Amino acid sequence: MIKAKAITHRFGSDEVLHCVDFTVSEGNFVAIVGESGSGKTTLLSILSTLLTPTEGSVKIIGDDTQEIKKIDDFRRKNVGFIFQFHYLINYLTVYENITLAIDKENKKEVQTLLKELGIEELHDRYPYEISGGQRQRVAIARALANRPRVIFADEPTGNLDSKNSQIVFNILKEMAKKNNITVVVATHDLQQAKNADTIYEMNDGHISNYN
Amino acid sequence: MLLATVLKAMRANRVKTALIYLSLVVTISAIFLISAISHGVISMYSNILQSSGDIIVTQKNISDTFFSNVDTRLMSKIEKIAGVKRVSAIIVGASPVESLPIVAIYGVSKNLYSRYKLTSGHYPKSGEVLVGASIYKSLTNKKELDIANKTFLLSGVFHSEIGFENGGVVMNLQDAGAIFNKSASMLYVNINLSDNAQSIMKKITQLDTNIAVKSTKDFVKHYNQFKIISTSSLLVSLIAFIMGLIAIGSIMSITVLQRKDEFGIMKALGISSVKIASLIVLEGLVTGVFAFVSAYLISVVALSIIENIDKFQGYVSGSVDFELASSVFIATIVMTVLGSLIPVYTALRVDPVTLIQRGN
Repeated sequence: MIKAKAITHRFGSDEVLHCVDFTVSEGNFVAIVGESGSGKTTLLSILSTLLTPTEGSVKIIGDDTQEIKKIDDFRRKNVGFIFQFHYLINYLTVYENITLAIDKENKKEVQTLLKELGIEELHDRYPYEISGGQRQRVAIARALANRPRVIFADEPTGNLDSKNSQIVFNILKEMAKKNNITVVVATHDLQQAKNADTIYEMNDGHISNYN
Repeated sequence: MLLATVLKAMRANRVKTALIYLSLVVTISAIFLISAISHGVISMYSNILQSSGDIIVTQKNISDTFFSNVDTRLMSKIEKIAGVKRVSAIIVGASPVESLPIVAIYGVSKNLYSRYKLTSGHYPKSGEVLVGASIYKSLTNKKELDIANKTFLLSGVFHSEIGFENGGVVMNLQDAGAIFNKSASMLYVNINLSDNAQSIMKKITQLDTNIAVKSTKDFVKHYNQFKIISTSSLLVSLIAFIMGLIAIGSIMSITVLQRKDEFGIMKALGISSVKIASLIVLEGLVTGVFAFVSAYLISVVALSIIENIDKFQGYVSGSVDFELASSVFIATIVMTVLGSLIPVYTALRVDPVTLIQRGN
């Protein structure tokens, strides 16, 4: 499903990823743990086509990311994102945020998705009118709305208390399993990471299996 | 959906939207007023010329009719040419009158008097002047006035449809000739509609080597003063346009800078750069259309107020016609599209992650 080969990335002269090889099979729930600044977010950004690596290549669903011509379309159809700070657009309602980039054929099922995530009643509310946990559930709904094949989540519970973290993580795992979605989560929370099928560890730009 | 999103974004960024709106209103109003007033001056003067005759005779090789001197003895010769209906003469000059620094003085042959509709009194005899309705209101001495150290009695007051003339003084050709030391500035020739203007113009030209003969239409088209006025107006409008563009571009740049994370998220979700750019351009366009309507209304009201200010003696007037409104509307669209597109295009060339990080 995802195959990264010899990924090196530099911000200016600062090398943050050193020749990283990384593979994820279809339907797997993978966690990448590591300290802040270890390179998790950069790796996730590269794997998810949001950032072009300085060196190396990434294949996702069989396509080399650097050769995909309509990268926006590819992202919209195949990839979902969940960010630490939810990044909902404040002037749009919950429903508008979820359907912002949705394809027409998936619009009908948004209501069901909202119900499954327990945020049905938030339909017309604005992000600033709901709690942090609710916002993150909306972000999950947005990531799932287009029926992606892969979801990338960068510290999805990093901004939540432990109770809400557990709820959000469970929802994410449950929804991924139900819809056979491959999930790659970057987190510094080892307890949460233990819920994943596979755990990798990032350390100073290098990746290894977590033991 | 697109328009609803745009309107919500504008509401969310209301301070910047208001600033862009105000910049546009000021810029568009400036373009409207500059163009309308200069167009008004040109059309008033060309109306005077076009309503006076079909052919205009001036001195050859002069840059302006103010400097033209044509011998009035030509009038009788021109009258003899077949097809000529009437020949009249005018001296156009300017002089201070009472506290007014500059007032147009028209010395006219008697056959031109009828173009000035009397509201009181009679047409001027020697030593008398007829004053326009606007200037009459501002005169402190309504019985006589001094022009070039000579005192003239007021014979009456006239009203002209051409506001420009209402701020002027009319006297007979001989008195004006004595003041401005010339025979006539121009001769107007009216011809029979059925006769060939070109052939008559050729015959008039043959009468004197020191004259230039043009059809009124041609004269108006090539008159240097009109060219200067319209070029100046175009330049000032262009400067206003560029300033407006810079203002919109600057405010839009700040808006785009502050919303980079929003655009980064949109790109991450798979919304194309074209669609994101069209959201911003549409925000600019909606603001532009509202600003255009506001500026149009402001300009119409301002022009009407200016036209009725006594101090301007009817010299400043103008109207916003369809042609001007259409040109300014196109300028507004170009201004808003460019002002919005340039900053957003620059921002969207960056990858989503950088946009999100910079937005924070």
